[in-house]
Amino acid sequence: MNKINDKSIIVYGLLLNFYPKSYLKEYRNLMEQTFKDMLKDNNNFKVWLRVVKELPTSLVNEHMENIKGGKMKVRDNKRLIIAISTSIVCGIAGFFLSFLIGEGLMEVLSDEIAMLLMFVGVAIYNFVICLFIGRFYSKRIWFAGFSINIIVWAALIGNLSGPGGFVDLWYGWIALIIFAFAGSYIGSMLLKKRQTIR
Amino acid sequence: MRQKQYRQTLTPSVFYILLALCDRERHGYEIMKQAEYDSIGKIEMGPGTLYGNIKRMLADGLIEEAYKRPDPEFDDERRKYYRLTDLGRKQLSMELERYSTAIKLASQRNLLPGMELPKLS
Repeated sequence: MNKINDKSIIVYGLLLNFYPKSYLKEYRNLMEQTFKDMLKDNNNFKVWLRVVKELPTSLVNEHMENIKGGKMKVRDNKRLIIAISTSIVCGIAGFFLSFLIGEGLMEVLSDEIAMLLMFVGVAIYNFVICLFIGRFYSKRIWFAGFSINIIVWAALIGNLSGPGGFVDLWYGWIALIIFAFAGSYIGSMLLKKRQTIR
Repeated sequence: MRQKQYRQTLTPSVFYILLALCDRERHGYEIMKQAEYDSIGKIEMGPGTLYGNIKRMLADGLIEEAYKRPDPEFDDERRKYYRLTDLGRKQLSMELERYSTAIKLASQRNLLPGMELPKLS
């Protein structure tokens, strides 16, 4: 095995770390062994081309399966994709809207009331998203969605409050997380109750 | 553990993995090479796709690990060998039957005029 191939094996080993741990526990050695076999029979470029081509889909599929714990392919996740896309679209729309109405809103309402309204908005939004995706996906997926919502809403509120405003207050961030979590938690509890009744 | 059951249709990769294992037990890289050969280069799997499929096929009961190992002198003992299960063999037969029926139909309807099957080297 030449030096280039040795480096390739090291790089491939590092790339494998992106796969879920449970998958690696079972298949890391086998994948590395197969990669070495490929290098023995083919040139480096051809092997890497094949690896690069398959890596994104393979990684996503294994992570999806790992989260769901069963049969789940990227193409089956329409609802999750819709939920995440909605989050992103809401975040972008909110970001631009805040330029238009943000300052006016802050002039009419006191800072505290405006912030409270935003927190309630965060809670309601997470509640709806939670009901939407929680029905079909596990808690871990729901938590991933919740995290995305936090980022989206943090960007929105950060922009709305302006420099020196909410973003600089540590308790503002904690309040945001608490409200968002409360919305999601109530949503998931309600969903659980509804499923139990059925 | 997933319930062992027939799949309605097989993905091309799964089909060629089953086909690669129909005559003997093989390890991962052998399966990969055989699938590429059988598909005339159309199925080019990398280790990720290969072992992802193997994982799901093991869970579905289409293949199983072969515990009888070749002589370690001639082989790396870290490799795992796989073989078809009865369910896998039946699934492969069903799929081939489906293809065969489709080809017969296509032929009857003159959808394959002058079509030559590609030659395997």
